[in-house]
Amino acid sequence: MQTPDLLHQPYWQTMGPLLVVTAAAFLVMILEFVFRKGDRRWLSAVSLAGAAAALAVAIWHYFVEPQIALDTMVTDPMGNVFSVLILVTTVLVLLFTWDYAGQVKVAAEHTYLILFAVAGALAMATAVDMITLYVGLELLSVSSYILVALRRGSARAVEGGVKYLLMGSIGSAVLLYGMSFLYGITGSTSLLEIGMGMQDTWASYPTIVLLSYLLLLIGMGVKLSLVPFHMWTPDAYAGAPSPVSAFLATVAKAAAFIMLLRMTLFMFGNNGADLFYWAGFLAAASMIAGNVIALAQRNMKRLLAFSSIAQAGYVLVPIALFGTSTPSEWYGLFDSIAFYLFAYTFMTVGAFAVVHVVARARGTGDSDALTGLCQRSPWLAGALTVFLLSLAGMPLTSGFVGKVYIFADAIHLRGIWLGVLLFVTSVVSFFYYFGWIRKIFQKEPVGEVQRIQAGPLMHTLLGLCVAGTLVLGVVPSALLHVLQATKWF
Amino acid sequence: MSPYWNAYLYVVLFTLFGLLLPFAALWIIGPILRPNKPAKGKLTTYESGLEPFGDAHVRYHARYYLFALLFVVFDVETLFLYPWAASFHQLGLFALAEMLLFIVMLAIGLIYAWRKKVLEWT
Repeated sequence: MQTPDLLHQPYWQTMGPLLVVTAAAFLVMILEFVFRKGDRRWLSAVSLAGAAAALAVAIWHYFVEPQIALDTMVTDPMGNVFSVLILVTTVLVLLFTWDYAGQVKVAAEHTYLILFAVAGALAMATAVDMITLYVGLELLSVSSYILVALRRGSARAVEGGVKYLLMGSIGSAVLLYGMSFLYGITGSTSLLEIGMGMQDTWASYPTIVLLSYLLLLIGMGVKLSLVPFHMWTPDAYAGAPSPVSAFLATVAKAAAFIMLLRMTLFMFGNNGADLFYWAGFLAAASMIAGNVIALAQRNMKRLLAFSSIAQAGYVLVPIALFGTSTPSEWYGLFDSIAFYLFAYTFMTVGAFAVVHVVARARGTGDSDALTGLCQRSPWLAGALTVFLLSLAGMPLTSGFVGKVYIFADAIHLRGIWLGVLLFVTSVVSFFYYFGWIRKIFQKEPVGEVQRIQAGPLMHTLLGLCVAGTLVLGVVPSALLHVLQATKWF
Repeated sequence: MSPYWNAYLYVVLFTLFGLLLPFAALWIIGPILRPNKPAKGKLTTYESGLEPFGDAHVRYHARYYLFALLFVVFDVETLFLYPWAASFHQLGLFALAEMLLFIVMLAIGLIYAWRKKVLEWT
């Protein structure tokens, strides 16, 4: 093997955001050993600074020429946009974790485990080699398993963690099985070489190609909590601390989406991508089951978990449409996916944040805790209303714009049944989102109303999320112009 | 028959022989060749020369688990260090930097365990 020149810049540059995040994680870990006394919430500020620095590097990458290092890591527009998405979400989640740090004993562990998981997520966004992608996925998954079960005293946290661990490990194993078939028929782990080798092997082994695609889809389906591989989701989200639930619903899903997209497009895309249509069935199942089961949920975080399952189904619709469209139409699909994920990030983190504050103040996770929220705290009530309207897809919010683009794609690109299903299941989702809004604006029938207070960090976080949701809803062109100018691959 | 499918013949033969050999050795040829001198001592559990005592179904303290985890981590580290040391001259400076980084990361893990009082028994 040729030993690489240490000082040759691309090796360091392509891994820039990843190295910054990893260094920040180790720094927080070491600082935790050194400063053992007193209030250590400032450790969260260090991690936030690390994530912000990584975000700056990722944004810089967007403006420089694509690079590839060691045939495994790239800085291409696809990876850059998703790195930025992951790091923006990380900044929001770390703000949430910082607010939460005062309420828990193992706060430092939360902070640096999230950073390690983000390092894995960034590897998933920028790697073009199956082994590196898999290592990134496992780094993300193992950190998430620990994060979910970190409240060791709570039986529900441990239950959620164990379920997530078991289901997630099976998902990883299935994914690895699919990868092994691809390595078997092409003799390479590099996505680019497999893509080229696939042109010859496609005709010879159609069954193995289909089998490996389905195994990859199922493996990633477990990580994306698509129906019918979603069983771990409500327990893990309800058992985990709220910042971790928000992390799982946003960063982990965005990373799994980009990994699924990159793997399947690079490896199967050269042959017309008909296979992608299979994803449509998972999208349909997730939209239907996620929205229908959510109707029956009383616990707020369980409801948000099922809502996130349905949202993942919406994002999977454009992925399925790759199968019925021509490569010239794929850029538009990428725009829809990225826009929806940006919109989804702000509204989901925000919704988890408000639910966290309310559940903590009222001492119950039941959705009845929301009753009279507009009297207890008008600002929290208003913010949650904005997030719920956006999740439901009402005009003037980011969720509406994102859904319109996905719906338009489905109608134009020969996936009408998916578009209709998206519309119908969104109407179903109105029942539970508006059920919450009705409770928020209901007056508390008896007794003195207790006001709910939140800390300055929580206000900052909610302000950012509300701003993100409304700005993307009112002037979506701000982000859409950037996405449309992106040469995705 | 294409040569590709012919390759499966070796797999079949390999499986058959793999099953046949232990059966033949243990149950057919073994009893014919080996001397048969039964003794009571031969039925006891082998514990590296110690006289077995007590029941094997005892409870272990959960703390052993943490020690085992730490042991495995550093066992694997040694596993990586040997081939690295053996081919150090060919690998050069890059491998040195990589290995130092690896050891430093594991050392941080050890300090973490130490700080969290994993190494203390009580």
